[in-house]
Amino acid sequence: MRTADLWSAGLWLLVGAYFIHTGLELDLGELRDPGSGLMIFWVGVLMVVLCAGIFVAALVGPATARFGELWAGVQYGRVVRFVLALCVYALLLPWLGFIPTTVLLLIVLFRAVEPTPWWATVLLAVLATAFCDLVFHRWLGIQLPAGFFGWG
Amino acid sequence: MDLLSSLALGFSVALQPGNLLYCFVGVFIGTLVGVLPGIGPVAAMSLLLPVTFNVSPTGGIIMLAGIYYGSMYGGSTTAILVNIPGEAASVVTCLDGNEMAKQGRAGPALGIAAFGSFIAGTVAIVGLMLLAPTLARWAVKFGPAEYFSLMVLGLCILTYLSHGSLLKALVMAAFGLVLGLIGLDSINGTARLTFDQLELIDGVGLVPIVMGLFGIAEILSNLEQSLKRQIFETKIRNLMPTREDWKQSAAPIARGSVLGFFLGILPGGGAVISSFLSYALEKRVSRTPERFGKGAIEGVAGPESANNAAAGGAFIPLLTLGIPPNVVMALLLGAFIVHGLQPGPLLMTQNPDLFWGIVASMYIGNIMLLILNLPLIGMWVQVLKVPYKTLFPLILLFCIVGVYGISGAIFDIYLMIGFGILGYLMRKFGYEPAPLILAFVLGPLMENNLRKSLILSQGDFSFFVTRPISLTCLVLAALLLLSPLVPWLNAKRKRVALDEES
Repeated sequence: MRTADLWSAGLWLLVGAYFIHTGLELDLGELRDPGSGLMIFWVGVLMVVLCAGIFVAALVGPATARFGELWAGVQYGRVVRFVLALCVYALLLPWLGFIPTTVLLLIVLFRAVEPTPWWATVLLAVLATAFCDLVFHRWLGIQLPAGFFGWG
Repeated sequence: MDLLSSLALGFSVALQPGNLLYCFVGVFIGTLVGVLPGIGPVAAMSLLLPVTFNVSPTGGIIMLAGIYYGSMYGGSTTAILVNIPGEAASVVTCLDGNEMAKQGRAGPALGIAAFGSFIAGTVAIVGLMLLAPTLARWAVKFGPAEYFSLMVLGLCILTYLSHGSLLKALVMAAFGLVLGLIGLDSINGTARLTFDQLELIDGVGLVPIVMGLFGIAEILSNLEQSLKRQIFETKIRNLMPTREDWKQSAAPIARGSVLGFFLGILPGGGAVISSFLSYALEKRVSRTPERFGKGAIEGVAGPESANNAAAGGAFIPLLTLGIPPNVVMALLLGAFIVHGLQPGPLLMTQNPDLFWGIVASMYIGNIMLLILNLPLIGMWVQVLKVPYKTLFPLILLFCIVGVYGISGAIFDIYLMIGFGILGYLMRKFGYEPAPLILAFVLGPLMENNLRKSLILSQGDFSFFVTRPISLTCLVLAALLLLSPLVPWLNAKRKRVALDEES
């Protein structure tokens, strides 16, 4: 049994059902005067039908990937650390501003995969951030968050 | 205005110093992202979209177009030298290109890839120049029903040609359609799926979705594995192919150019598919098919020509119909809209300088690419020596600046992270992001044309099947969706998907 497909089809089926609900709430209108919910409703119906198809195919099809097999040999730590670092970055960005937050993020990421000498990590992080600030902010005029320190 | 005077107008625009600079920047960045595995033209174009806000529309579009066709050149370098496709369209080049490099013939492989790309790119531009005006005149006759049906066909072709499960690809397209409808309804102003978030009133931005699904998801997929990349150490000599190499490659380049150009025009087709089909074609017509996979130069010349010709052909539906045939063109459509321009049948008459300026810049860009990819090949080899542990934080940094630069909203960075996690999980579970992105861009256009058609026809669905162009598109779409029920067709489609994955 293709458990991975059953899980994913189940989740997308719920999303489709939510679209049906939203479409109905928004008003389908009439065919000669379609409402805001018409397309969302019918796409939701299509998603539910397609997910049911994946579900049935997974049940009757030959045994393939189990849920656990998809995660075999995966270095979870790196993936989780990366996502967490990004979330913390997004949280701090408006407060600390682009330059300090980005230097911190790059230091964390440069050392995330394998240890690199501190001096090289800090130098690369500062240079990369300065390059971005110079090119995108100073030369091209893209606004980047300045934060409390007003560095940006 | 005849063709030659139009072209002269185009060159007068493209040769302006500012536009020449944007063209060079575009093809340079295109080659760079093509060389670097992990960042493709979609992510690079998203990143540079905000940069184009401060330049003229012509300069901005010339630069973004240059990134696309430039990446097709760069992708072959990585494929040949380190057996990793720098860009999805170069996957098949690894097979014979890397074998040639192992046999000490990296130079001729790189040379024929660059020359083939140049010839095919030029053929595609000539095709674009000749075909676009005719198609634009014809497209004026398109009404909402024809546009709706053509977009349905485009989505069906893309999902049909996706790897693996057709059902999963269709689910992604359906999800993308609804994602594109988030925000205010353009007809009656009703807020849809905004969850009371002010940031969603204008809808979800294309760039955070693309950066998340392609950029962040790619980084996450690479991080979960051990990061080891083969580094090319030897020196490259003799980039010029021999007389024998040319003899063997001439016909594959010609066939690849024509095949790629026409596949590029098809909605849903594109560089990846054309390179695979060109390889299959060359193997089939060869008198010595056993040489393929062991360093046959035809296996490099054909696919590399095909993917460049497809990149050129893909501009036709966008510039003449206003419909993007693939994800990259969807981004370019976004760039047009940002600059207040609507690509379509009237673009050529209302903005001839822009249209012909883009076409002429592609001729110039191709010459620049030939110079960048032959005498300067050593520079790209140096780029390949940057380890991934150093590269991925920099790619991420560019993603962040690209996303924040467009909207100035932290919310979009959260969106990018969210779509990055979604994209990572989608890869794990075998769902492709390309149908989602194309459907996201087409969603509002499709809904608008559907509603207009229903209002015009007083709610009569036969409106879609009584108009010949619309009927043809719908019949083709239905045939594609029903084809998996025909066993031999289904087996053929699965074989193509498996070939692509391997």
